[in-house]
Amino acid sequence: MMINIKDLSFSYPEQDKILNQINLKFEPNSMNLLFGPTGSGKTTLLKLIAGLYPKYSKGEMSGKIDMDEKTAMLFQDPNHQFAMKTVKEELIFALGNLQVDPAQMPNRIDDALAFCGISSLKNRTISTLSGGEKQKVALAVTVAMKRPVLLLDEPFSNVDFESKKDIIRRLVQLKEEHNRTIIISDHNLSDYIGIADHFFNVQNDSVKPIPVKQIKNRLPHHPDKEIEYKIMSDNDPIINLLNFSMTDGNQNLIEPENIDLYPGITYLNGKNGSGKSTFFKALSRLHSYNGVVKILNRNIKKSSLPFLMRYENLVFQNSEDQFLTITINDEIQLAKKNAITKNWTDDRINDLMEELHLDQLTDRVVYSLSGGQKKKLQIVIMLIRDAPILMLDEPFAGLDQESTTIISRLLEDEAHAGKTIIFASHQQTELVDNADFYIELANHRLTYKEDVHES
Amino acid sequence: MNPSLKFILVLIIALEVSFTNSIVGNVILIVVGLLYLLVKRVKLKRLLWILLIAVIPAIGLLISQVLYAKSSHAGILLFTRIYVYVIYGAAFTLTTKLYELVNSLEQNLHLPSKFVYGVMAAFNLLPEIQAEVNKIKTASLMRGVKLHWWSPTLYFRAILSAIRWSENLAQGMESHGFVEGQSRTFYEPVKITMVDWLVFVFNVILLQAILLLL
Ligand SMILES: Nc1ncnc2c1ncn2[C@@H]1O[C@H](COP(=O)(O)OP(=O)(O)O)[C@@H](O)[C@H]1O
Ligand SMILES: [Mg+2]
Repeated sequence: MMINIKDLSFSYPEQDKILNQINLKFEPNSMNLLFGPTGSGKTTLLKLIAGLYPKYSKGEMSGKIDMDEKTAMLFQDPNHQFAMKTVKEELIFALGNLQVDPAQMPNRIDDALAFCGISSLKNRTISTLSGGEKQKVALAVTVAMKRPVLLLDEPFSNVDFESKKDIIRRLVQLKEEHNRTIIISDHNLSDYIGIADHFFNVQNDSVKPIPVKQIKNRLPHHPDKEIEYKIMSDNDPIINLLNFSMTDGNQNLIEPENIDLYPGITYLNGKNGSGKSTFFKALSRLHSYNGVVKILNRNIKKSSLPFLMRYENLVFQNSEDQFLTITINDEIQLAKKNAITKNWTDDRINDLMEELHLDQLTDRVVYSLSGGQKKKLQIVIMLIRDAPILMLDEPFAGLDQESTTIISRLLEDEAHAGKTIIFASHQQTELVDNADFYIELANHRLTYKEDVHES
Repeated sequence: MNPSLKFILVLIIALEVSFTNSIVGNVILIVVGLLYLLVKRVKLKRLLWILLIAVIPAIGLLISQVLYAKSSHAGILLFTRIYVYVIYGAAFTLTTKLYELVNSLEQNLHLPSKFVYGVMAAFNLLPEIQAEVNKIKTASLMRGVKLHWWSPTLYFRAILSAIRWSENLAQGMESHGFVEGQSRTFYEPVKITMVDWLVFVFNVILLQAILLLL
């Protein structure tokens, strides 16, 4: 299935062209990778190919996208792409739309779920799934639809490393056996070397093919290494969990456990659905738990919420959950006004905004930002708030290499200044290498790890 | 019984009851409705709770009619009427799954799919509203803003979430192959059987008998 893009230009209202005179071809039986800084237009291009834009945007398009077959698209935001309640119902809905013979539905559904390694999620309510699980379900829907063109917008941003490798391998199979055209946007290219057929750099309103050789040279060097983490600290613990356990309503996520958390950087790792987000929510009193959680020796169930939220803050997995106002500028002003310390001066804030390329966007409505831009803004406002304990749930999802490095460095500085940083991430970032502690959530247990082999 | 027919039947009962003045008729309907609920083995606790809550408006109407309109007949009539509504409302909602109703509305009554799935998605969202509000409140405390139930920001945020959600839903449905007006296939075809029709017609006639003859 050939996709032929001719002289394609697109602009959002009151903005410069985000894509200017693009000419591109995508061929059948090919896996194509789109990469480029956050906000460069990857999502925009994919939605144009999917035919969702300009219809669902107020933007203006010129030029042509020639293709005679239909597409299936997975959205960057794992939430809000489902109409039905359960995984199975959503799949039935999609297949019904394609007028698939009902007798074939059960097989197609089971195959697609197995493809993504999530057969066990078949009857689950979608809203109760973890971010990574939702991404896998969205992928399963696009696979079940068997459309000739698959458009996947950062499909692995919340997916654990092993599942990602596994799914990419199967996508290659799918492509070859069924002559599919697959277009993926991703920031981490190392997993696609020797696998993807074409790479395209989306940047400065253009889309340029880049030879694989050059891609290899661009990759950050990740030697195999053994990283050592601490399991004890000279400092007193800042959070104590006593006989702590939690469930997801049906099954145990963490079995009763005593564990202490220390100032410095703690990396919380665990597979999709193991309960990392729920753990963060429990510590923020957004999810129930058994046992006692003490922060600075105070039982958090006995502290008032406003009081507690001066000591610990959470950077939510879904950026939009953190916003309260309309424009970037409003958000920054609000953050400054309610900052707990005066550490973030106007100069520091302005420098950071510039470094993260947010300074030109201050009048923009936050909801119209790209996924990565939202994430950056969200982290900035929570840094300005400056609570002593900061938990971050997948802070690097949707971020390009440059922003990831800047934010890792910032968080390290904060930790050196005495702050407690606890983060969960499926991206291999500098912050993982430089963390003080490594806690693994596996088999319903939280365990400190000393040596971790990373490749 | 087919959910759409059941739905229409309940509508007819509610409509006719509002235009008739037979207390005896209402009482018979109440008894029949209660029997139906018991036969269907709905949760007793739930049923009692519903009946209890309905007492408040029912007694309110009764008293106001007796005190101000000086008509105990009108009072009792309204009292029983409220219970007919409540019991048949319960008879419908407690014995019908949303998923089945939606399938039937789409396939038997041929309501526009877009409408049907929009309604269903909204209903699926309802149980999450409480958690969503809590999240908004805690998230804003993390930003140093205390939201009360009367705070405009809370409503602003909630409405914004709803708008974002509906925009995304439309795109999500389309990316999953949904095209307005295009025919679909059904995994669980819902039919209206001969028996459904017979039961329906029988019940409607019975209803006329109860309301008109008594
Ligand atoms: N709905 C929208 N309204 C206005 N501007 C938008 C909208 N969506 C995206 N943008 C802007 O267009 C640019 C490209 O966004 P996007 O395609 O999402 O980038 P990417 O996916 O590469 O991160 C960004 O500057 C973003 O802020
Ligand atoms: Mg994007």
